[in-house]
Amino acid sequence: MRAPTVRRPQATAGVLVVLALVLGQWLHQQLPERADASRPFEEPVAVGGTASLRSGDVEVLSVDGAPSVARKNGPVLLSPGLFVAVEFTFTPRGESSSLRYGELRDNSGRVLPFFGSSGRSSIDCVGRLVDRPTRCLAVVEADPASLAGAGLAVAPSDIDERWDSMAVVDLGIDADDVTEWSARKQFLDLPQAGVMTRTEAP
Amino acid sequence: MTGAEDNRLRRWVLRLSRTLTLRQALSAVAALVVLASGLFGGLATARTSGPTELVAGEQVHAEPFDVTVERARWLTDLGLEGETPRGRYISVVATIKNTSDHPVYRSEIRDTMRLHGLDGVFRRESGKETGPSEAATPRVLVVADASELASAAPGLEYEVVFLWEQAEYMPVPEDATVAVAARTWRQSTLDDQYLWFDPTVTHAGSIAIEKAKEES
Repeated sequence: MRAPTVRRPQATAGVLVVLALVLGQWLHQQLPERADASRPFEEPVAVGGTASLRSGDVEVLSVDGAPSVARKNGPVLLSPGLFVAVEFTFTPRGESSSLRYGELRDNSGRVLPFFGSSGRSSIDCVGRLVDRPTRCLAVVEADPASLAGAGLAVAPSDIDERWDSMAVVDLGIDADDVTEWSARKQFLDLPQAGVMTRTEAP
Repeated sequence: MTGAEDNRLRRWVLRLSRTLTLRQALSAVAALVVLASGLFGGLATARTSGPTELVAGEQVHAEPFDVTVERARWLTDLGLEGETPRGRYISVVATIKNTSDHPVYRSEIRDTMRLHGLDGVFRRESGKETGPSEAATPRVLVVADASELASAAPGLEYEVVFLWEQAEYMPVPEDATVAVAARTWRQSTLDDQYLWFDPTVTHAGSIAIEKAKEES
């Protein structure tokens, strides 16, 4: 005589699937979906300080500005406003990585993103060697009236900066700096970005 | 509504249906609808379609820029190092000021201006494909330093030259229509990013194209 088929395990599996769906739906409703939930993890840093990001360390070396700038062997760029040049080092951690995204946070609360390693506003920061500081440069063109009290944020991805860490640099610019930079007649010679040697490394 | 009011309304509708024809009743309803639409702007003067007249030397606003088209010139040599002309250059000198709170990037800057009415214009920065000027994307150079304007910062005014190239076998143009387009800052329906979208020609006008003075 054949034993009757036991249906209970199948029924239990069905109930568990339904419960899992219910749980998933509940979790989906509970987890925050607002933009601020996916905002980058901001690491504040001032000139001379170091910010520790997920992908490496950022040390801010200097901030300077002028109405005209020139890269090594490059043309002189003239601005109707001001160029601000921020020199910093980036030391990749664990694997090679770069910083490809920059945004000026001006004194009106505006966020002005820039990317790309050439042009009037640019970020040049390719970290090829792990644990070796790379000399980096961010240049941003801006309205002089927006600069006193402005900050600069740099992050690894120029496509999507969400969820990742981001260094937020207090540029320490005041009205006197803006006046002094605006009066400059000579173009600002921009430092060259690239891998630093051990002796150059701070 | 009480029963007495209901009866009164029914008698009124019945009397109206006896005194008015169907056509009269429909006309009356249509008139009421038109009058009611006036409450919501239905009777306001309709906007004229098409772009506003663009005049050289006069500032217009095409979001996000204040644009002043100064002049148009044609020339055969820009005097720039490494530049190999494919034909004659047609340039429109203008000042543009980003009046918004957001940067404007290369492709949006280039799309701000188009030439209408010319043929044999190279469609892109490189390549040999020519066609009507409406489909040709200009380069935009900053007059002060001859660099490309790849981003326009908020609050800054740039003197720029919009630059097209036209095949030499085409006759030298005497004029062209310059069309200026505005954009809207809105969220993308695809990835939720805020960007400049929906280019729409808001201003257009005919500009004389004169020969530029070239250094010998």
